[in-house]
Amino acid sequence: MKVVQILTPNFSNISNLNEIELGANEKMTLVQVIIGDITQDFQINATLADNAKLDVHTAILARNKSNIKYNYNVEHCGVNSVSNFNLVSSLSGQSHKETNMTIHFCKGAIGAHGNEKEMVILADRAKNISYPIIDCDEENVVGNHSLSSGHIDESQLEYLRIRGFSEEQARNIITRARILDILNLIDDDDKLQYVYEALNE
Amino acid sequence: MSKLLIAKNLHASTADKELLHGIDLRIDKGETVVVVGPNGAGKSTLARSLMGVSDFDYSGSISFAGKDVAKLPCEERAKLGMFLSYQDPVAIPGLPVGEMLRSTIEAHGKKVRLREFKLTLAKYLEKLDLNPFSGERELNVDFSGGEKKKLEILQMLMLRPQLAILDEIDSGLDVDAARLVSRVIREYQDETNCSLAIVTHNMRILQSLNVDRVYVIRDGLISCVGDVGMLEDIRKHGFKNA
Amino acid sequence: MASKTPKGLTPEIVREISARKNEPKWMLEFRLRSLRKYLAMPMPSWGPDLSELDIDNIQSYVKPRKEMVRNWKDVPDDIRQTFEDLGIPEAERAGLAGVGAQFDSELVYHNVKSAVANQGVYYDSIENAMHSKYRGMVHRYFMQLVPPEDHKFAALHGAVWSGGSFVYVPPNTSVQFPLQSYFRFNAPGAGQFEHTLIIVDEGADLHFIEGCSAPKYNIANLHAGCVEIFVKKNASVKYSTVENWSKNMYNLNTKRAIVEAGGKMEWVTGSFGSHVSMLYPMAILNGVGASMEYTGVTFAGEGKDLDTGVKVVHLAPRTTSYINAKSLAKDGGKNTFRSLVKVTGRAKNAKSFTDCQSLMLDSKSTSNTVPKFDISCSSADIAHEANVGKISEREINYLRTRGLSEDEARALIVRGFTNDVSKELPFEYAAEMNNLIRLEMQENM
Repeated sequence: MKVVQILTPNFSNISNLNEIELGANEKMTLVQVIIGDITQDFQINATLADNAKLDVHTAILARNKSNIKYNYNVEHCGVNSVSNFNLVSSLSGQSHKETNMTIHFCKGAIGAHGNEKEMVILADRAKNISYPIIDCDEENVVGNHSLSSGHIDESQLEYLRIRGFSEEQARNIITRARILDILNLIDDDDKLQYVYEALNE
Repeated sequence: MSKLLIAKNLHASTADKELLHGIDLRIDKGETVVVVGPNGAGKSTLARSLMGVSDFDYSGSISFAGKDVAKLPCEERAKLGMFLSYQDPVAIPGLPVGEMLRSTIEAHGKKVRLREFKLTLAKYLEKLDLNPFSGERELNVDFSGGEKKKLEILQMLMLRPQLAILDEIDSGLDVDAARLVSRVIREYQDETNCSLAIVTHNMRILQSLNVDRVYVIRDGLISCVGDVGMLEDIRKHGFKNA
Repeated sequence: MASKTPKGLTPEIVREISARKNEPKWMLEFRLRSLRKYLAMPMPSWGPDLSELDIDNIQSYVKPRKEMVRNWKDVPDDIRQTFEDLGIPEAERAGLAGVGAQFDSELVYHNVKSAVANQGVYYDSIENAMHSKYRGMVHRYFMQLVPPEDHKFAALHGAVWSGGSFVYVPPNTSVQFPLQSYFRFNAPGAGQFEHTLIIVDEGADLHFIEGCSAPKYNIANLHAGCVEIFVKKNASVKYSTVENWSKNMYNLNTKRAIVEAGGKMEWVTGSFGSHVSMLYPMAILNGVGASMEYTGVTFAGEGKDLDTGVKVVHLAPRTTSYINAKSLAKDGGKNTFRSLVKVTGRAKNAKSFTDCQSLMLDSKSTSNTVPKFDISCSSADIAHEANVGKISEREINYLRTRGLSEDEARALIVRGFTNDVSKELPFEYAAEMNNLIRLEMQENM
């Protein structure tokens, strides 16, 4: 099952709270794209039974004085359950974003894999707080988290500028490239249309 | 020649599949035996079965140096003088190569004299054309594929087994390195009169070695046993007739 | 003394401690201010369970040592056994176990003191420093980095601290060998509320080693020490700790450093013992190009809840921090890695990397990773990697084919896992730490 949720200035079908319960062998992909000047909280609570698999791909492009809180909690209850959380955010203006991510491996969740991967691009006056937690009550599991936070490489900007883009355009292009993998998961052209419009604003 | 290893009716299986269906194999003292076969024939499974690596269920009998080893865990077989080189050596972060070797030699019940140990290690590193500081680096971490293979040979030289089972030891080695490794193996054999079981689908590694017998394995069974001449046929015609 | 001690910590107890040390007035006032803070502050609402700590009877932890073990034969058997396993000389065992006997280290300590004095380095107990020509320095720096307002146990420490070390290294002085607080353990009250104050002046460097891998035994089971380190311009300090408190201990220690431009602070810690630990060494990177490195291993065995980690605050441009944390949990032990990386807007081009790996050695145990990143600087490069898992069967099998038993293979892999820390320690400490790991691995196997 694939669910696509977007929030742009012109369209929204996003749920602020996603309660996800995956039974044995169930699989779900959740794609979220959040763009604009946004002050909201988002939450995902998921419980995974045996062999369940959850993939969450979230792109956040926060502008102006956005203030976003994003909570992600996954309970690995079943054996061989898998969760992947891929979060890319670009915080421009004076945006604030806080992410709380918790992967919990319950006792008995043998062979479970939980991954969190976060990439943040920060503007000069933006602020990011990340709280990636892995709780492990079972030995036979693999939990991974990675975070990279930084700015856009000057040489990349320069490279695009000598090709004729303004710095602002160059930044947009690079930011867009970083979320391209997530955008490619959207197969609903109408929604994609709203996303592109919002990106070009 | 006295018999070193005799395997009879060797079966190996996973939970849902049998991989070896009853293999008979003999290796005499000082002999060089080659196991060849197409991809997926069960060559690596056979190598791992002989060593008793616990990733399959086994049945059948294996005697080594007059001892029934079929029920022995792999570490006991190693202590008796068996050695398996891995096709894909396992990285152990933080554990220096030298430290691993020192601990292992001690686990074999031999006393390690540090000075002598360091000299020997340095000698073999040089012989294998490895960086002299390789002993301080982490085991199989950030080494190239070829270097990892050389580290397997280094371990063989340091642990001094009577039987070395070398699983695809030449994959990842360039032409010169393969020639070097082949020569080093030969020198070790001349020096110790050890036996070799070379598992390969590439004949390059055999250039310095005198092959006594060739086993062809197909679909988990020995399809053919022959002498070195058979390798020539296989080189020309592939495994079709073997 | 009255036959019945009043419940809770009182100004009288604090005055008594201060009077016994013949302290200047400012210190007594500082203690009393800390006591007021302590009484007003709540217990921490996060982290491990501290409910068994008898906080209402805190004065019983604070009493002078005369009521503690005096006799070698009163030291519990398991501790005596461990001393023997670690090969600690008999004379030192007695001292470490809190028997308070005279032992050779006292002599060694005096030798060390005079050796570094020739370089102009001052190293003495903080009590003596308070009456020396460095008294002004003690007054100026004491509990400025870790003020009593910081948390309840910092306030407690401020009220009842006793023993510890004061080190001053003058500019451009390189101390030739590590200073070891070990030599001071037999000071009254040391090893429980000891205060370590280290000031390393511009361009100087120092390696300071705290503790020892022997399980320090105390009947009183609360340790609330405090370490403050001032790293001046272009100075560098390495602070190493290997600790193995006895299994009844609550180790609630606070360690903090402030690093000026071009300075470098290195924390090396191995935490093995105690019932509960809450320990997060911190560095405040205050000057351009200041840096911190943290290398730590925590091994939570049976009955242990070890909540350890690190904090770093980047306040200035081009500051860097590197965090390398390894944790192990075994036999039902609970391990938590907790960290904070804060990068303020001023820290242009700061860099921080956190690598945090946890190994679960069985499924009775628990391992948590709780890092926090608070980043307000666009040009900062921040990266974090965390992995939790168990020793792979492949690694074990590989070593078994070379002739190691499963247990030997596990022990060797664990040693490799913790190698980052042991290679940062002087040889004898590294050897003792490896011994401790070996003992932990053997237990219940």
